[in-house]
Amino acid sequence: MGDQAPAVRAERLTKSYGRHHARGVVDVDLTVARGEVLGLVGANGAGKTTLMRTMLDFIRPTAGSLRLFGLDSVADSVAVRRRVAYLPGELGFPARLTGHQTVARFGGARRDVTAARVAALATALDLDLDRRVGDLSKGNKQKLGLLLAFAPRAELLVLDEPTSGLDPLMQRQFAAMVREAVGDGAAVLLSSHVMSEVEQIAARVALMRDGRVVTVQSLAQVMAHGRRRGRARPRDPLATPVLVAALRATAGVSEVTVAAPTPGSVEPGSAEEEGMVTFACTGDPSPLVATLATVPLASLDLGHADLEDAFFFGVGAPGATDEPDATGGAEGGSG
Amino acid sequence: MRLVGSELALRRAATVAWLVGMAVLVAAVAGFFPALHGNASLNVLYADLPAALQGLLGGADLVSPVGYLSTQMFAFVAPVVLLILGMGRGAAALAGEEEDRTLDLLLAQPVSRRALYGAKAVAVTIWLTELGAVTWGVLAALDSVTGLHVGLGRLAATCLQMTLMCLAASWACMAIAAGTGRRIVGIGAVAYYLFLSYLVYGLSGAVRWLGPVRPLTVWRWYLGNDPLVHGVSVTGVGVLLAVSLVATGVGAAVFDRRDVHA
Repeated sequence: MGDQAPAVRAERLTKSYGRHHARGVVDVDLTVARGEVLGLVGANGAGKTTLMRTMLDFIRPTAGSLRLFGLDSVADSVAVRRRVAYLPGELGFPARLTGHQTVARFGGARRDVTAARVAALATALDLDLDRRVGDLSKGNKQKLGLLLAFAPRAELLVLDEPTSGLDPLMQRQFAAMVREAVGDGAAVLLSSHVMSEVEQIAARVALMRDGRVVTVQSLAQVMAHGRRRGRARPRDPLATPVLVAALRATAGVSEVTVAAPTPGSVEPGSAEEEGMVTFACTGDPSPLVATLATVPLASLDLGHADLEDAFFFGVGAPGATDEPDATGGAEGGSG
Repeated sequence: MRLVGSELALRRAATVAWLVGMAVLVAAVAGFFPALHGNASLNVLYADLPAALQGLLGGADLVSPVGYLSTQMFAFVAPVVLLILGMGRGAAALAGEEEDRTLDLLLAQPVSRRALYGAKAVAVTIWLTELGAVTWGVLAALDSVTGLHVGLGRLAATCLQMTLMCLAASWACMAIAAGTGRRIVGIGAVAYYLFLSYLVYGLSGAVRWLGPVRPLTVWRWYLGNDPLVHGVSVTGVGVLLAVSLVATGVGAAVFDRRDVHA
C-alpha cells in the first residue's frame, strides 16, 4: 500500500480548538507527491504550523484524514516519523549542550544520522558543532535545526519557516540542500509567510488563509499572473506621450502613468525624474519589450515579477478586500 | 534505553554537584548529633511543647539517636531536599521541554509519546535513587562514628521509604505537569498536597478527628510504621509504589492523548 501512496494526503482535514477556530485548520485537502517541493504560504496565524505539526502527530485532527506514505498520522505516528524529518518554526535547544551533544540528543534515535553525514552538513552550513548552543546566534541555531532535519535523509522533510534568520548565502545553500534531498527522491513541504522565499525552491505553492488552503497552484501558473513594475524614460522628452500611448495599447500592460515632479510623492526619486513613465506588466513580457523597443530610451528599470501579488491576485478570494495587508500593500485587481 | 541515557547525560554535571551537596548536608546534620546526645534539658524543653506542635516537629524526642534522626533528618531535611529536586525534574521532564520549546524536536524522532514518558520517569527514578542512596551511604558511614548506632538495615528501610514517598510525589508532579503542559501546575498542586498532608499527619496524633484522614497522606506510608525502629513496612512500600504507578499511568495516558503546544 505505502509504496505508491503520496508523501502527504490530507482530506477534509480539520482541527478546531474549541472557541479559537482561528488557530486551527479547516477542511484542508492537500497532496504532496514524492519528490515534490510544495511551498505553504500564508500570513502568520493562517494555520501553516498547525497543519505541519498535525503531520508529526503533535496535534490530533478533529475531523478528516491525514495519511503520510499511506500511513495514518495518529495510529501509525511512530512509523510516520521514521520517514519524516521536521524543522520547528519555533526552535528551542537546551542552552548548555554543544552542537554535537544536541545532535546526539535529537538525532540519536535515527540510525541513519551518521557522524560523516553530520560533519558534511556542518561543513556545508558553516556551523561549528563544538560550541555551546547557548552561545550561538539565531542564524546559527537555525542552521543547527536544518542540520537536524536534513541529517536523517528522510523521505519527507517538513520545514516550518526554514530560511528565517539565514543570510542570503545560507539561503542559497539551503536551496541546494533541498535540491539534493529532492534528487534523492524526498518530498519537501516548506512554509513561509513570504512568497519570495518559496518561489526559488517550490514547484507548487499552496496558499493558506484562516485555516483553509485557499488555492494550490504550480509556480508556472503563479508566474502567469506575475506582475512586474517597470519605469522607462525616453531620451527625447517629447516622445513621452508617444510611449505612453504605445504602452497603453500593449497587451498585458496597465497602470501607465507619467511621473510628475511632485515633492513629497511616495515614489522614490520621482521629484527629479521628470518624464519617467511607470507601468505594470502581467504575464508574458514580450509585447512590452517590443513596444519599448520602438522609442529610444534614456533609462529602463524592469522589476522582478511580484509573485506575492500575483498569487493573491490569482486567488481573488473572499476576504481579500477586508485584508488589504495580505497583499503586501500592492494595489490589487485594478489591471 | 537510549532515551534514558540521553536524559541522564543532559543533567550529568548538575547531578554530580547535587549528590555531593546532599552528602555534605546529610553529614552535617548527622555530625551534629554528638553535640546533642545526652543533653536531657533539650528533651525537657521539648516535653513542654503542646502535643500537636510536637507532632508537627516530627516527635518529642530529640536526643536519642532514633529521635534525632526522625525529627532532624527524615521528617525534615532529607525529604524536603529530595522532594524539591525530584519534583523539579519531574515537572521539567515533559512540561519543561514543552515550555522551553524543545519537546517538538524530541517528539519528532521515531519514538512514541509513552516511550518518551517512560524514559523520563525512569530518569527521575534514577535521580531519586541516587539521592536516597547517598543519604543512606553517608548515614551508614557515620552510624558508629557519631554514636547514632541505628543500624544499616533500619537506615536502609527508612531511606527506601523516603525515596519511594518522594518518587510518588515526583511522578505525580510529572503527571500533572505533563498532562497540562505547565510545570508550575504540577509543582503547585503537589506541593500544596504535601504541605496540607504534612499538617494532617503531624497533627493527627493529637487531634483525634484527623485520624481517619491519616491514610490519605503519603507521610503516613513513609513514616507511620517508624521505619528507624521497625524496619521496612511492606504495606507502606506497596502503597507508595501503587500511588507512583497510578500517577504515571494516568499521566502517560493524558500526555499521549493531548495536543502538544507549539
